[in-house]
This record gives sequence, C-alpha cells and structure tokens, in this order.
Amino acid sequence: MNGFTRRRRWVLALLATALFAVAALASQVSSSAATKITLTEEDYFNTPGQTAALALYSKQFEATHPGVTVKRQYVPFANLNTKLLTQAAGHDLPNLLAVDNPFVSTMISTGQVIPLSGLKGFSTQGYYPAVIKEGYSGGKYYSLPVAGANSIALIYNIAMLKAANISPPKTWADLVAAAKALTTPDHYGIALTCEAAEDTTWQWEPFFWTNGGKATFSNVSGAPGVQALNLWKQLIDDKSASKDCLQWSQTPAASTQFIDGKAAMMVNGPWNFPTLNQNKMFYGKQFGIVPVPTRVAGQHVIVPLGGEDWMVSKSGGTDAQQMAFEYIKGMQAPAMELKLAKLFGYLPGKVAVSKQYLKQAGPEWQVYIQQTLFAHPRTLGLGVKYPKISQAVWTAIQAALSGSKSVQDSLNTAQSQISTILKG
Amino acid sequence: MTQMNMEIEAGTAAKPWLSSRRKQQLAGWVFLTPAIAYLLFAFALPIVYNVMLSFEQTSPATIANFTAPFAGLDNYRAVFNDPTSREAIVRTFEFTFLSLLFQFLIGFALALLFSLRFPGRTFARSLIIVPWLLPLIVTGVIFRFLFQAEGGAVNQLLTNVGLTDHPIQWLNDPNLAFWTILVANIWLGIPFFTLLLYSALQDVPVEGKEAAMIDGAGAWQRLRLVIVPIILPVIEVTLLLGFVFTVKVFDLVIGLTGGGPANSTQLITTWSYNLSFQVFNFGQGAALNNVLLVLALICSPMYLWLSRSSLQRSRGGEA
Amino acid sequence: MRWLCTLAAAVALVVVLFPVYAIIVGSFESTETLFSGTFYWLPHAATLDNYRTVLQGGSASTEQTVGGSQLSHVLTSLIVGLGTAVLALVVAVPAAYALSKYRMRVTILLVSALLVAQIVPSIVLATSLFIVFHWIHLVNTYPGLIIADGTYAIPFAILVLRAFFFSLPNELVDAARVDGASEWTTFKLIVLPLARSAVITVAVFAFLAGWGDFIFALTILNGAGIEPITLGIYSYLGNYSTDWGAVMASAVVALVPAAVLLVVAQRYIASGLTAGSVKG
Repeated sequence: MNGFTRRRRWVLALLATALFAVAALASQVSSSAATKITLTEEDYFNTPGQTAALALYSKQFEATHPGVTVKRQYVPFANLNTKLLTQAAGHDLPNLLAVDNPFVSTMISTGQVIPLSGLKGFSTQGYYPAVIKEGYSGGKYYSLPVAGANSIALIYNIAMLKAANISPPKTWADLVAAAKALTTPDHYGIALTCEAAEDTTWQWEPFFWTNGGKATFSNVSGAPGVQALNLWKQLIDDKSASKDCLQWSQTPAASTQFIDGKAAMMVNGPWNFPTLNQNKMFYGKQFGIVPVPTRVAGQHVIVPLGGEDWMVSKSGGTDAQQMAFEYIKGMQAPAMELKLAKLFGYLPGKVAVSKQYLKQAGPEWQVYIQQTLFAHPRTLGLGVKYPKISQAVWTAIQAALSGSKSVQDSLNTAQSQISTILKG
Repeated sequence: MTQMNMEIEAGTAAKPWLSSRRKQQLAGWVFLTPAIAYLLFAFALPIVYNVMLSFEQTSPATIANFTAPFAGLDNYRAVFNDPTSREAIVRTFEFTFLSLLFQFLIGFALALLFSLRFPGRTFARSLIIVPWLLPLIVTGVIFRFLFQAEGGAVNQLLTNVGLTDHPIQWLNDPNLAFWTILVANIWLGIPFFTLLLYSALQDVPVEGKEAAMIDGAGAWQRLRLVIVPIILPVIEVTLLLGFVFTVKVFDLVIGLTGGGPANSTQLITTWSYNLSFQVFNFGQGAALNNVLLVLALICSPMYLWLSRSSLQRSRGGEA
Repeated sequence: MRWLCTLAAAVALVVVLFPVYAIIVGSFESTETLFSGTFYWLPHAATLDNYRTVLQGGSASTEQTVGGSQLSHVLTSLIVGLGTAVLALVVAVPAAYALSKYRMRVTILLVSALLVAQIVPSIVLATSLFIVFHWIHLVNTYPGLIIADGTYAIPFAILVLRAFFFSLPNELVDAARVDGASEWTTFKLIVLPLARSAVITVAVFAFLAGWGDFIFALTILNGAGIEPITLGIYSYLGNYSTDWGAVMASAVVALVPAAVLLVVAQRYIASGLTAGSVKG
C-alpha cells in the first residue's frame, strides 16, 4: 500500500515537471520573436487551392519584406465569426482577418478594426462597386476583397439531362418539370440547401429577389416570398429534392450530392470548379451552367454577392497595422489578383482584371461573370441587421420544408420578426 | 504497519499546541485553498461578467467595452416573451429528465452486470468508456451520418430487418429530431453513469452482503436494503452531476442538428448561443444562460438536504 | 448463468460501440464512398489514403483538403489531457476531503458555488476567460489551456470525490488522530490509498475532458504552435470542402493513445478496495 502511494507521487511529480518544462519551452519560443513584426491572420480557407494560394503569397511577401513573418490560422467556417467576436471583446483580434462579406459590417461596428481609407496606397479604383461597398461605413472603407467575388447559378449534369431528353430549365415551371423528370431511383432531380445557416438564405435569395423580393426582405410574406418558397416546397413534395437538404450545407454537402451523381442539378458557385475537375467533370462535357431560373421568362436575375474580405485590426499598433495593409495591398496587384482568383475559383474583384480573366479562364465563367456584375451585396443598407434577418428567413424555410408550418405561416412569422429588426 | 507508525510519530512532533479541533479547521482551510483560488479565478469573473451583460443593452458595438447602457430587465423580458426561448427552456427540462432516467437505469444495470463474474468482464468494462474517447464534435457528426434519412446506417438496418419500408426522417422531421438527439445524448452518458456506479459498487464491503445472504435475503432485497443505502451518496452526486451536465448540453446538439430543423431541437445553451453570436443580442443570450445559474442555486440546497444523512454519517457520529 | 451475463455484456457493447465501429470502417473508405448514400458494414473499396493524409500531412491522393500531420497534435492533446488530470487532482482531492470529513461552515457555500460553477456552459466561460487570459498573457499557452480545461473537471471532481469520501470509514481516520498523526499525514497515508479507485476514476474523466476539449482550444489558441487533435480534425471540415475520410482516420488516430492510457488506468479501478479495511 505504501509502495503504491510513493510510486504514485513520483509519477505525479514527473508529470508535473514535464508539463512545466513544455510550458516553459513554449513561452520561450514565443518571446524570442519580439524584435520583428509578426502578423497573425485568421481565415476559413481550406481547399488545396486556397491554402496553396495563401502560402504562395505569404512566402513572397515575407521574402520582399525582411523581418516580417505571417502566421496563419485556419478556423472552421462555423466558428470563425464567433471566434472573431470573442477576440474583439478581448481586444485581441489577429492583425489580418478574412471575413465572409455579410459579416464585414458587424466587425466594423465592434470598433476593433481600422479604416483602410487614408492608409498609404489605398484606392478603390477599378473595383466592381458591389465588391467594395460591403466595407463602406461612415464615409470610410474598411475592407478589400481577398480573392475577388463569386455568386451562384444552376449547374446541371449534361448526361442526365440528355437521358431524360430535357433542356436546361429557364423558368420555374421548367425547373419543376425538369426536376421531376430527372428524378430516378438512382438520383434526385436537384440538390437543395436548407440547413439552419446563412447559405440557405443565400441560395434562396436569387429566387426571392428576382421575383420582386426587396433587398431588405420587407415583403417576404407577400407574393414574391410565398411564390419563391412554394417553388422549393413543391420540389420537396414532388420528391425531386431530398428532405435531407435540411442537414446539407451548400458546399460540401449539396455539391457532393451532385458530384457523386446523386442529383442532376444544383445551385452552386464557381469555387466548385477545382473539385469538379478533380472528379473528372468538365464544363461542356459533364456539366453545364445556366442562370438561376426565373418565375417568368425574361426576368432580370439578381444573385447575392459572395466572397471574403480582408480587414485589419487595431492589434499591434500602427507599425503592425501598416504592414498588415501592405499584405492586403500586394494581393490587389492585377497579376497577383489573377493568380489568386484562379486558385480560389473566384472572379477577380477589379473589372479590368476579370475581363482578362475571362479570356484566360474557360467559358464556364460566362454565366458567373454576367451575374456577378449585377450581384447584390447582402448587407447593403442593412449592415448588422442582415444576419438577424437571414436567420428569420432560414428558419421560415426550414419550417415550411420540414412540414411543421404552412408556407404562408412560416413567412408570416419571419415577416413579423423582420419588421421588428428593420425598425430597431 | 511499523513504517506508518514511524511516519505518524514524525508528523506529530511538529505542532503539540494546536487542539485537535483547531488542527482540523486549519487543515481544512489549507486543503480548500487551491480549490477556492481556482473557483475565483476561473469562474467568478465569467459569472459576474455574464450577469452584468444580462442587464445591459448589447450589440456588436458594445462587446468590446466592459460596460454598456443599462437595460434593466429588458433582456429578461425579451427572453421570456420569445416563444423560441420558452420552448427551449421547457425542452431542456424534458430532455434532461428523460436523459437522466435512461442513463441512470442503463448505467446502473451495466454497473451491476460488470460486478458479476463472467468471462470477458474486464474486457467489456474497459470498452464501455470508448464513447468518451471521441471528441464531442466528431460524435455529433458521426451520429448525423448514421441517422441520415438516406444512406444512414440506422435506416438501412431497419429496412434490412424489415421494420420499415420507407426512410425515417430522424433529423428532418421536427417531431422526431428531439428523440434523435435524446438517443444520442443517452448514448453519450452511459460511460459516466456506468463507471461511477461501478466504482461505488466496488466499495460495498463483502461482509454486509454476506451477512444479508446468511439472513436469507434474495438478490433484489440485498440490492435494495444493503447495497443501495451504502452507495447512496454516489448515486445522489451522479444524478446531480448528470443533471448539471445534461442541462448544459451544447456540442452534441450543434453537431447533430444545429438546433433545427426550424428550431425544433433548440435547448437553452444552443438558443443562447444563437442569441449571442448569430443575432448579436449578447445581453439576451446572457439572460437565458442565467436561467441555468438559477437552476443551480435551486438544486444546491436540495442536494445538500438530500445528502445530509450521508454527511452526518461521514463526519463521525451516527453510523 | 454466467454466459448469459457475457451475452448481455456483448449486446450492450455492440450498441455502445457501434458508432465507433462506423468510424473505424469509414476511416478505410474514401470520401466518395462515404457519401455514396449506402452504408457499408465492412470497408467498401478499402483504402489507406486517409491514414496517409492524416499521418503524413498534406494531400495524398485525396486532394480535397490540406492539413498537417496529426501526430504532433496527438502529443499536444496528451499533454493537455494529462495536465488537466494533474490539475484536477491537485485541486480537488484535498478540497473533497475537507468538505466531507471536516465540520466547516463554509461547506454549504462552497458546494453551492461548485454547482453554480459546473452549470455554466463552456461557451460562456470561453469568452470571458479569453478576455482575462489576454490581460495576463496566458493566451496561446499550455498553462492557459489547462486551466481553462480544468473548468470541465474540477467542480465535478470535488463533488464526486466528496461523495466517495463519505463512504470511507471514520474509524481509521479517528485511529490515526488518536495516534497523534497530523491532518496531512492522515490524509496522505490513509485516505489516498483507500480512495484510489475513485481518485483514478476522476482523473480519467479529467483527462478525457482536457483531451476532447474543442471550444477552449478554439478560443484560447491562435495557431502559433499549440494545436490539439480536436482542432486538427477540424482542419478537414471546411466551408468549401470536407475530407470525411480524413476526419474518420483522425478520430481513429486520436482514439489509440487515449485507449491505451485508459486500459492502463482501468487496472487500478478494477482492483477496487482490496487494500486496507476496517479490521486492519
């Protein structure tokens, strides 16, 4: 009995010592970098293309800026915004943050990020207006695009459509019919996204906005919204779309359904091109792209604007802030923008560069480039209210598609919430 | 034994002037110091901060400051007027009660089982803790994978066995989703109850059980009259802690359903998280979380009262 | 009769271990197979690619996502887990003893405080602790993470050990006191060996809490060196692509050291209270 107690004490002591040794070592490592500038960065990019792009650029930046190290941290998409808010509360944001564009307004309002206007070399020349507007507040600009912008369109499986003898749908009626015809025991007609997250609202927005829905969602329970939601409901009721969409994210869950041949169509974006190609699916041979169908033929398609923006935090004082901006600025140079956009699967943020991009990139970009020109930035005019409105909308979509409420009831609930949000 | 006597004598030489009672009080405080320090450092500040937040008018613009405009009881009023918050509170209670019931019954049954001698018992007992080796996130994600309506193992099994002919919407049907997260949570809690109750069962002296057997008591009577009273303190604390842990379940639900579909699986913590980090009503999120604090303040006198007999017995006096 | 028990235990294990089995099977399948919509009971089109991705880092033939090798992450998680266990024992064992064996007025206050502390969700603690750690430079350090992970285990450990200590016979403690032993000696020589089973159980829980923590690691660490396996697994789950095969393989890789540690610890829980008894 005593032997065990003594042995146990030794083990504990050994463990404690080992622990402190490691901790001491760890703090040593961090303190030795005190004299140079270390830029910390957080983002949620994790495809090989995106990671390679950032690594490539950081290496180049460090080479041209001796004494500067860039430390990147990947944070999962679902957690990045929470982590950034927590860090803002602790006044400890990383120097560089890559933020999903609907969240830019929120970060601005925390007061922990600095305006980029007025910093040496800042310019908004040549960008698509929508790409720049997200970061505009109180007369100043707070962000610049990471790799450009993106949006969504309808991607379809050529072989499956041919087998069912239908052409790519242009109107909602076409879509419903096509999805039904394309549903076989092997695959669904279309893969939707209706999980409890932003990408559900994002996917629904083209249907709603194109149909006369307001950018502020103030008429979501009127005809535009009801018709748009009824469309999705019908796809589910017809069994042309799987109810599992309630669990699916846009990427990778829904996109994998398409890539694996479990769905003939999907609404998705150009960031999927690398993955599609890897799976031997190429534009014009295995998959085609058309704009999101409209209710009435000839309606002007309005899609939401996607993409991430760089922001610089207050951390580290003016030296670090200026250096962080240098990092961002370097990415905006046309040659670098072109390279990054290709690796990311995005459309370059500057008009001239994207025209050049279209020449180099394939015809699969045609639809996206046209759409992105008229894409609508989600937080324009709404700022911090957008995430709250988005939540009301996706909850309504889930309620209607899961069958717990009728379409009109779901949208009525959302409408009353949205009216309160818009007022306050 | 001589070794121990020597050590005792060495220890006694030090303080002959302290009375036994004073020695105990002093020792008690020394023993408690690390714990008190830890509680103050790791918990006091967050709790105070959270309570303060619940009385403030909050938004992203205010989180970087320690104080924000005073909001009186507005956050609490907003939370209790919000149907989703009310449902979340009620649902949390249902969830907790049902979870604890099944976790305890299954855990106790397994603990009793493992106390018997049978081939493979050590092996089985070592394996029962394996669910806890997985990070909660992975568990949530795996369960989502298993409960998929199409291609999920559960539906496949049910179809193969012939119990159902169409895929059951475990996670997509707002009425079923609650039961799915309940099953997942019960699964998660089994190692906890099994291990603690098993450890307690090992403490039961053989003599007591033998004496009861000699007196002619059957297995069920032995359980009821000899074993359970001895391990009652552990049962009490296991249920108490099970309650505390279940009422704040978060990771599993987020991983499985994200609170959906259509908020049909929102619990206090998940809806509070939503209030704070999705719609940036940090004050309301804090107010909802404080419901948990109130729960703890109600539970603690209840627990102390229930366990007072165990306490008396332990402190020396009535056996 | 005894074989009936084995059968019952086997059934229980099958049900309890099934999700883990699913992970192990899944780790040998490619992401495409995992998403094919059919669940295979044995690995279908088995491949070692996932393990290559996880152990060697980078993208092997699954070029879906890129993460580093997970082995260093496993070591980090081990350190954090052990640290949490040590911290929990150092803080909780003496405190539990005091709260169960000594008549102190502060007991009621402390037990209530412990319950209130244990009920606070980790996400709430994470935000506040981050702010505090930022002030005192504990952000992104092992001690910081271990102290934070202690919040899962310490109140729980104190309350559980207190309950176990209730059932320790007072005769031994009184006997030692009569013999003139100091409180510390009594505690050390008599209580610890007798409560070995409970102490190890609690240490196991504390280890697993630190081992499996995600939220504190996510909040307190900023990627400059320390990365436990829970964050490592998450590098495979992205917004733009998910390498499910790698996630499963990481989970299996993470299981192994924890399982080994626990099998070792189980031996001590198993032996129970054969050492020491009232009759002496």
